[in-house]
Formats: sequence, structure tokens, C-alpha cells
Amino acid sequence: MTTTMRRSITAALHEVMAANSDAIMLGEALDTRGGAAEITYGFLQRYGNKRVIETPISENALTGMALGAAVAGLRVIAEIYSADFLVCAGSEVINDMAKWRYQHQWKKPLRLVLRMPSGSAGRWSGPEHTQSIEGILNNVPGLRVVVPSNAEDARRALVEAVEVGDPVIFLEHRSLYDLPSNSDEASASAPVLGGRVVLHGDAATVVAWGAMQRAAREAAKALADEKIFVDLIDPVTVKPMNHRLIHESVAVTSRLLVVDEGPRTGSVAGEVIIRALEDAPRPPRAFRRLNFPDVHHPFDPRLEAALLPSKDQIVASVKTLIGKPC
Amino acid sequence: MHREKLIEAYRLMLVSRAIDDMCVDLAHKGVPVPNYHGARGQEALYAGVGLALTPDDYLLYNYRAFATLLAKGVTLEELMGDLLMNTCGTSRGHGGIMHVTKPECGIVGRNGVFGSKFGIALGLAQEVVLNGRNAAAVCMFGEAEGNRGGLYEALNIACLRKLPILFVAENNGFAVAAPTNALYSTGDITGQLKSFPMPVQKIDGNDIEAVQGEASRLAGRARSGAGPALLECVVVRLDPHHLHDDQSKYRDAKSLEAAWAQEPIARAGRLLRQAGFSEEALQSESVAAKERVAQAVQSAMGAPAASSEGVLDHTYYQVSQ
Repeated sequence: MTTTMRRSITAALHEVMAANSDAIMLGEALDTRGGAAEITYGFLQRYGNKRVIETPISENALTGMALGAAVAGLRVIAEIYSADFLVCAGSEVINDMAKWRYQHQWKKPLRLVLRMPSGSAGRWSGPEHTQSIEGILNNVPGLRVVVPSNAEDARRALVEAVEVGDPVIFLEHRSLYDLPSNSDEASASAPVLGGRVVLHGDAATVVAWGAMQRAAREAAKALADEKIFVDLIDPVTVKPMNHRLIHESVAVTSRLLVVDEGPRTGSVAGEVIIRALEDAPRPPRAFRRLNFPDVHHPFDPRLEAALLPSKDQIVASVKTLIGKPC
Repeated sequence: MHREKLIEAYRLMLVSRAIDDMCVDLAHKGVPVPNYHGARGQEALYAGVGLALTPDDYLLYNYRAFATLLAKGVTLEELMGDLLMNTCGTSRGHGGIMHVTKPECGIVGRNGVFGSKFGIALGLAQEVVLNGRNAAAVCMFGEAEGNRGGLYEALNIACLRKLPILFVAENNGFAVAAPTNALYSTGDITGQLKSFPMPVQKIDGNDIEAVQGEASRLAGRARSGAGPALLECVVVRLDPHHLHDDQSKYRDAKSLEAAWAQEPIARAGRLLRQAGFSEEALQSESVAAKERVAQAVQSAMGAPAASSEGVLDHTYYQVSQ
């Protein structure tokens, strides 16, 4: 059976739940419809109702409950029905979870993952069921944000995220759930949360995560056909990002392109570029970002597709960076 | 109420009152007492709930609940350190009275913004259920915080899952300056919440015996697996909301005078005299409480201020790359 991200997340959840008797899961419709993405069918029957908790549509209570259980020492994986709905629990996430360690000088790990579908599926979803919220969360110290781009990374990243000891916002890109995994996606044995160089080259450094990593990979292959080889980086952890990995690459390529599905202003992409300019031992001489423009996702997928960063735009941007005519 | 329990409660109430007197005095002398909110008039509620808890229970406290925190295991020196916000405090000057924490005593900490405490209580209670412990989560909140929607979400889930939680609603008459009857359609908390399938009870929060008795009963009920309960304690806040609040703008002097006549410490004193304690004995308890607080302030005042390491090293569990 071909592995998909949907199946590999189910596998990761079983891995965590089977290995740790103190692990609990909670979320809306977790059992009755397998949660938002039909990932959690059968967990209630297998692990029991003390460990698998289906909640009403109550994001404040469910997010607070996740924090309380983590504070009490449990391993907690909570599902939010959509990344867009996480803002319903803004105070719990931004004021409580993110600040708990600081304000209480908390010494122990807080093993707490909030996982949720995010990003655009291009299916008439409209601006409240498509957002890439990593740009919003990037401005909150204390949170970690993880956005896997393929099935195998998603499985390993979720298992690692439970153990990392800080609240992790785990964003599962809707468009990736059912894509078959590629044989070249299996990463090395190093922890996947630290990110990695996916393809090697010296023409430019391209950084992309989630669905944009897929687009960037296709672009990199098209560029390779023209003998333009890029260093393609998948940071996996978007916050706090492994900037060193990017800076090491930029030291070789001198050119940096960041592809980010979120809106341009205040985007993660902007932060990656400014950090490279400020902190890299050899800052990029040329740089560029590709973002969704500062508008809302339209319901009509044809309009939406025209606004999302695309493979062709990535190819053109790399060529612009290296001074090659498109 | 047993004689020994009653004198224990009285001591807690006296210490709480002495803390208030000391904080006001320090503030007037120009010593910062950040985020201090007075507990005067609410001591019976806090002492009664504190004495209803076991060491295994979780406590999500309210920021005036000095007596509850002391009963649960925070030392007087730690509490003064938190009020003065220095390294003598439980969060070593970073959380202060708003984030008192002593996990080994079941005091996990406190939410910083009203309303999210209720969800946190659910998670604490779920740990109790999962590990089959004989404990309850006690979640204290004021009538102002009870206006946030998170309460209703959490009460629903607590009832759905029969979680071992005692919700203690402190109705002190005013949400800062707004009277309770302007904030609740039924004029009180109980009236609004009585349709939840759990005991929802309203008592005189100035009656130490009623508070300790009912809180013990309902917490015991929760520990036994019978599910959550809500106890509304009606008290009268004697002080302004905080030091910089002028309550003469929204309260008339006569009602305040009447409230002082009902204040809980004198009332507990009358019970103790009925139980055989002499006026001299009670007087010496009062002197002892003041001395204890003065000593605690003395040792807390000398503690160093918060360190920058506490800021830089306590954002993530392991400092990342």
C-alpha cells in the first residue's frame, strides 16, 4: 500500500499511543468521524475513553484541557479542526501555552502537540478554511511550529514533536494528505525536526516547507533539466527555524529564495531573508521571496490558483536571482 | 466545625489580613507590590476552601486567595516574595502573585488572562482520572471571570465526562466596578448555571463553617467519581479592586460600613469564643499573625531581584539553535 501523509499521521499517533501509557488524544469528532481529516478512527476503541477524548466544538476548553493535561505531566496530542479555528483559542495558545514555561519558571517538559489541517486545498474552501497561520504564530516566543511536506517526515516529525518538551503547532497541509509519497523522500536518521537539505546544488538556495516544498521540488527538477542546480532546503520546523542550515547553504550559493504560502507582509519568508542578511557569516548577495499576496483566499479555486506561488514562478525567480533570462 | 479546624482557619484568615495590611503599608511607603489585589472581606472563603483540599488535589487559585495558597503548601516567605516579585517567590520574580506555582503541592500555576483557567482544570482532572488518583481539581474564579465563555464550554465537558472538579465561584459583588447584577442575567452565578447536571450551590462565603463544610463535601464527592460541582460563595469585597482604584466612585459609604459589620474575621472570632477561646487567646493569635507576616516580609525584602537568565533560558525547554 502506498503511504500517504494521512496514513503516516495515523501511524505516528499509534506509535505514540502504544509506546506511552500517559499519552492522550483529544479533539472534535475524533471518533465519530475520525477527526477533521479522518485520521483517528478506531483510537477510542483501542486506547479507551480515558485516553481518547472526543470533545464538543469548544476550542477554548479543548485547548485549555490540552495544556492542563500537559502541565499535569501527560503527553498530549490535541486536534484542532482547522488551523483557521486555532485563533478561537488565541488566549489559551498565545497567553497561556506559550508563556507557561516563562511565567512559572517551569522546569519540566510540556509534551503538547496541537495538530491541525492547514493551508489551501484549492477546493472552494474560502478564506476561513485555507490559511497558512505560521506567519501569525512566528511572532509568539515559546511556540514551536512544524510543517511537514511529505508522509515519512510527517510520521517522524509528529513522534519527535511529542517529545520536544514545548507546545508544538503541527500544521498538516490539506493538499498533501493523499499524495503518494516519493521514494526519494525518506530522510536520513537525524531528527527530522532540525530540517535538511533535500537536493544539492550551488546556483541558489531555495527554502520551502509544506505544500510549497512540493512546488519547489518540481521547480528544482525542471531547473535541473536546464543544468541549473539549487540547494533545496526543507526546514520542517518553521519556528524556531534552523537558520544555520540555511546560512551554510547561502555561504556557497550567495542567492536565497524563500517560498511561503502565507501572505507577504510579516511573513516567515521575510524573516528568513532578514535573518540571513543580518546573521549569516556570508549574507546572500541576491534574495527574493514568493508569497501569497496581501489578500484573502478567494472561494473560486481558479482565482486562488492564480495567487498561490507556483512551480513556474519559482523557476522564474531562481533564474532572476542568478541573472539568467527567463 | 471542629475546634482545631476552626482555630486553623482563624489563623489563616488573620495571616491573610496581615498580608493585606502589610502590602498597603509597603505600597504607601513606595515599595512596589506589583499586581497586589486585596483579600479583605474574603478571608473565610479562602481559608475554608484551603482547608477543604488534600495534598493530592490540584488548585487553580484566584489572585486574592492568599489563605488558600498557604493552606495548600506555599510558605509565607514564598508568598511575600511573589507579592514583592523577587527571587524569594515561587517563580523567582517572573510570575509574581498572578503565577504562584508549586507543582509538588498541586499548585500548577495560573492563567494570566481571565477565562482560560476552566479548560486547564479539565486537563488536570483528566490526569486524575487516567491515573485513578483519589484527588480533585479545585478551580477558583471570580464572578468577573465567570462571564467569559470558556466557563460554559468547560462546565459542559466536565459534566459530559463527570470530571473530578470543584468550581468555586467567588461572588464579591463587583467586577472591578460593575455590580454582579449588571453582569449576570439572574443577578448571581448560581441562577445562571443551575441547569447544568451537577450540584450548583450558593452559600454565605463569610461563614467559615459553611465554606469549609460544603467545599469539603463537594470536593470529596468529586474525588469519589461522582463528578463536578459548583459552589458560589457570596462575599463582600471590602477594599477597592486594587490599590489604584477609587471605589468611592461606584460604592456608597453606608453599604461599605454595613459590610464591615459583617466581616468574616470578627465573625469567626465569635465562633471561637463560643468554642471556649478567651479574648486574650484570640488577641495573641492576631499579634502572632502580624509578627509572622512581618518576619516573612523582612526575609523576602532582602531577596535579589529577578535575573535575566530566567527570561532568556525559560522560553523553550531546551534552548534551540
